[in-house]
Amino acid sequence: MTRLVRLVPLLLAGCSGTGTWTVTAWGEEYIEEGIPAEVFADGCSATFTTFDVVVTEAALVDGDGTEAAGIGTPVTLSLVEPGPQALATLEARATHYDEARFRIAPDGSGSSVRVAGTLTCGADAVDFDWAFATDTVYHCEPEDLTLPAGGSDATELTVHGDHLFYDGLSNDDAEVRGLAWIDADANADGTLTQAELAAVPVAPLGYQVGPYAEVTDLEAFVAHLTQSVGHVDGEGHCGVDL
Amino acid sequence: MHLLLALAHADPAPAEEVVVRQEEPPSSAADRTLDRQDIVAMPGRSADDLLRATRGLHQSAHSGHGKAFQYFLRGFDAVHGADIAVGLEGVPLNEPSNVHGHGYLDLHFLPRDLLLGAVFRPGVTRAEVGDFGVAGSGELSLGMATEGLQAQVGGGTDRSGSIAVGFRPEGRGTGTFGWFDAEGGQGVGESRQWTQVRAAVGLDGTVGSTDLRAFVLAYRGDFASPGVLLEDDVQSGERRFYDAYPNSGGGRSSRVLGAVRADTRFAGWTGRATLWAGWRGLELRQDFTGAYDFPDTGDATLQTQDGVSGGLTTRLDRAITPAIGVSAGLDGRIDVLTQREAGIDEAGEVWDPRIDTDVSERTAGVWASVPMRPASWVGLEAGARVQQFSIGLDRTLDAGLGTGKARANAPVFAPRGIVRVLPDGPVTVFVGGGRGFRSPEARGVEDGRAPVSVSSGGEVSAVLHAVDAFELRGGAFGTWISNEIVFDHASARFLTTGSTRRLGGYGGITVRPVDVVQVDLDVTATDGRYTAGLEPIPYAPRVLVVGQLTTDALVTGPLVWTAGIRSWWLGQRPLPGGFASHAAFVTDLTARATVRRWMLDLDIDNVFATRWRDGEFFYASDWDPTDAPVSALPRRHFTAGAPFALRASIGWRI
Amino acid sequence: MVLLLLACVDGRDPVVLPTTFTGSPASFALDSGTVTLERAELVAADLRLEAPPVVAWFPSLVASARAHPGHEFAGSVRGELLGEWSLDLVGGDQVLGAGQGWEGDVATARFDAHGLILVGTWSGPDGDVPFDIALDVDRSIVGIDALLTLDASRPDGLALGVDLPHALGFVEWDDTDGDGTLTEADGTLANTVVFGITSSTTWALAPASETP
Repeated sequence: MTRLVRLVPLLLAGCSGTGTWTVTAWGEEYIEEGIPAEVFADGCSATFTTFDVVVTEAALVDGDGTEAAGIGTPVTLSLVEPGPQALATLEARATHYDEARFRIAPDGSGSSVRVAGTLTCGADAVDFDWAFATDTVYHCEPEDLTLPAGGSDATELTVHGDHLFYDGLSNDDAEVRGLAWIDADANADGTLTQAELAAVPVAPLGYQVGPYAEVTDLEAFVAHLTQSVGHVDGEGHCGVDL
Repeated sequence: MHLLLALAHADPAPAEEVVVRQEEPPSSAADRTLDRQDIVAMPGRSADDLLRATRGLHQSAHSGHGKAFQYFLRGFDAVHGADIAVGLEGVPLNEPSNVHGHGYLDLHFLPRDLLLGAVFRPGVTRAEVGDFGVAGSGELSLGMATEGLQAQVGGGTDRSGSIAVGFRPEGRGTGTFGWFDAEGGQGVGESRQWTQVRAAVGLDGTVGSTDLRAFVLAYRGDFASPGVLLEDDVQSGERRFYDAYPNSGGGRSSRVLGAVRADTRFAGWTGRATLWAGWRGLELRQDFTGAYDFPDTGDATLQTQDGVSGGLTTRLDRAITPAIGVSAGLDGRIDVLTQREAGIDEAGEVWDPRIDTDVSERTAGVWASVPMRPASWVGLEAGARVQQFSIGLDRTLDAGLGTGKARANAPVFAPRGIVRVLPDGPVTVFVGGGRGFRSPEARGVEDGRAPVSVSSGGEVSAVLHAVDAFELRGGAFGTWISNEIVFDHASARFLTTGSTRRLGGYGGITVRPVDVVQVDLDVTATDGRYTAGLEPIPYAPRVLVVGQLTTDALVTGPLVWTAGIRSWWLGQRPLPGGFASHAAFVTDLTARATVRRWMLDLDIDNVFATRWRDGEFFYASDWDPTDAPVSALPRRHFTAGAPFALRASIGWRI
Repeated sequence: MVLLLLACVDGRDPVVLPTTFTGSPASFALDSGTVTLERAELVAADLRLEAPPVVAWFPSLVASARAHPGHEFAGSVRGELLGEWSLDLVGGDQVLGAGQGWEGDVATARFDAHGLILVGTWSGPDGDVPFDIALDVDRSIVGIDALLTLDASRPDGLALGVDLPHALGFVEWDDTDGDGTLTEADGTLANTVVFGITSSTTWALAPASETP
């Protein structure tokens, strides 16, 4: 009987209680350890010393588009640190959700994505240390996100570092390339600045921008690619509001 | 609790016994109870067609004669049965996690001649209704109405033929019978041939104060499916209305179901227990998009399912005092299924295996209800059901989800209640409400995660039945779902489509101008929308009007007639993407004339031979075998509604 | 109530879309010189109009670009004109045919681009240099601005236009092989021509009635 009495609130909660949503972020091995040469179509490789993203919004959204739970303050994540980073633990109505919404946008410090590291192509290498102020909302579709009453479920914002090196913004045959970056180091000092990137037009590179006709230089191109790094639970795709 | 009355007719023919259950009081003005005579007078060729008697229900056949219908009720697109719980003598008939659709409700295995009665209840207000009870529920009773040997042979203009033989020993109850029937035909138009074979045996008897019965039903159906046609192809004369594209599909459906039931009385209680078990085999081939997605092989898919199921349903009833009673039940079931899905080429060979999954589902539920009569003018029923689902699956292959094992449990609690004001008066008012629920579909279950769909609904209705010859009824209902959960087979994941609300009303009138003639007219209107954007819920009917004229044992000379003509009009339905369907008006007729030991049956589908579109869909497809550019524009496709067909049969009874 | 419910179901009517293409001027100035085209042709195929990317009855599907190349989420196809045409990029009005569609809003258009031929003269600071460029673009040109509403009660046509000064504004006119003729083999010319010709803002689709 005691068991039954315990069961009743649980069952009632099955329809109207709350559950816990645990949110983490991870840059996977590509950001923690580097992107190996076999990933690059032109044999380059890359390592990161900094890969910070500022998550200003991490929200659980119900089918009506209403936010069921969300973080109150921005969180800056250093993704070169090993392992998934804790982002938030939130309470929300126990039900099924199919959208987790993340916003990577500038907070007070002015940037949303900061990357630093080294790109190596054969004997050539460039260091880079860039900050972007892109504002991106990721509408992610976790495979099956259900908060059970009194239980929990987890979502991982997975950041794909290799996307920064794509040679296309929308074509599905886009490849990861680095040589254009090496060539962009105009003063050949081994450091590639954002100003040097901005001086390189995209058109001669054979890179494709698809419908993003406003992207004409390499700095704008990489900035646009910073808006494609967000995924969910590994390879789960997210829609983006640019 | 269930009484059997033999109503002897004045004619010299062997009497059909009519089972009259000691009916449970209705839940609303929309409830409908059919007896054997009503079933005989209800047009339609199969047991499935009988569900049309549910007030506000529309059903659509978008494949061949042998596949489950698609059901729509009160603003719900219940697909193949996901939101309508139907049972047979306490055995739940919906198939959880069927490869073709959750809650797949296929009544083709039931010989229509063995259906003695039915109760259909739109809305969910009774505690005993279990899984899939979201939009409504129904219960069928089985047995053979006549004693002796009965044989029937027939044929039709749809190039069909049928034979049936049944036997019920003299002096035995309706539950003791042997039955066999077989039918087959080419159908009107292309790719519509079918064969069906059914056999059934039943036994009933009494041991002490316990009534026992057992039955076994076996069925095998093979059918071709005409699939869809492009409206443009029909308008241009490229295809005729009842044509089919090559390799349009078909299927094979097999089912064996057996049950043992005991009804007993002890110490003021009445109790019932039904133990059941069954085997199910299903194979469906379909292609609704031609070669749009896979130009080289075509888009045809093959779905197969093989499974065994078993369960127990029990209930106890007792009057505690003259004013208070109690009803309670415990039920559970186990389903063990293997299901596969694959892309097949024109030769029917598998070229792209997509799903190979073993599923085991266990569910148990307990419910209780307290009927009360605190005053003569009011009756109450307060109850609740608690259900627990436990679903496990082992994915050997699933193109959308990878492989591996998963198990999840999901509980649900569903309070329900009914108030009846002036239950015995000339005007009875019903107020009812409660939660309905649908189990998670196994294929989408992830470890520890299985969302249950839960609805909340309410209804206010009234019946005026001051005199026997006249009844007026009407009501208003609403159903709200805070988070509509659908399993999207294309992406192999659960999707929430947001909160929905369905508001509607209905009205009806029944007139019996003379004893043997009855006229019914029912109108159901539902406005179903997503609450976020107020977009209409696609496919769900908004207005359904049904009229029926029936005669019950009308005597003309030596002939005794039981007949029914039924017309329905379905208003335009909203379709996805802002499109709309056509309205449809269809009339069907059935008539049975009995002369002594001879029976002549006549059934006419679609009396006025209207070319109506049963299902309509907008999407891109490619049916052109040439290399011409493929259009990506959504285009109207339709499944042709039942054509005109006349079938007649002659029967003989000893 | 019944009438109200039926009134809500109006559906979409089909529309016919007579479509024309209008080329650019054959000669125009760029920042660093002047282009004079004798011949400019693009083999194009299968023009499609896409609705705004909103699946209204299915709000859970996100209606925007995907965070991954190749996963652009365009709206459903609202109209199309199938076929293959050799567009005279410097010609007058060219009838492409009559497309089919459904009433409703259109946001963008796309078509497939194949063979491109540009023949003419580049007049730069160093004098005139002939060019003869033949490229297989072999890409879809997506996201073409096409903000319009199809309405069966107000039949209208479609006018596709090209902005060659924009398309060729990216080109680096360097005769790197020094053979006296600019071809697709010269430096970045192939890349920049393809980039410009596939730039969505090189193209525009508008109602015929609003096109001069």
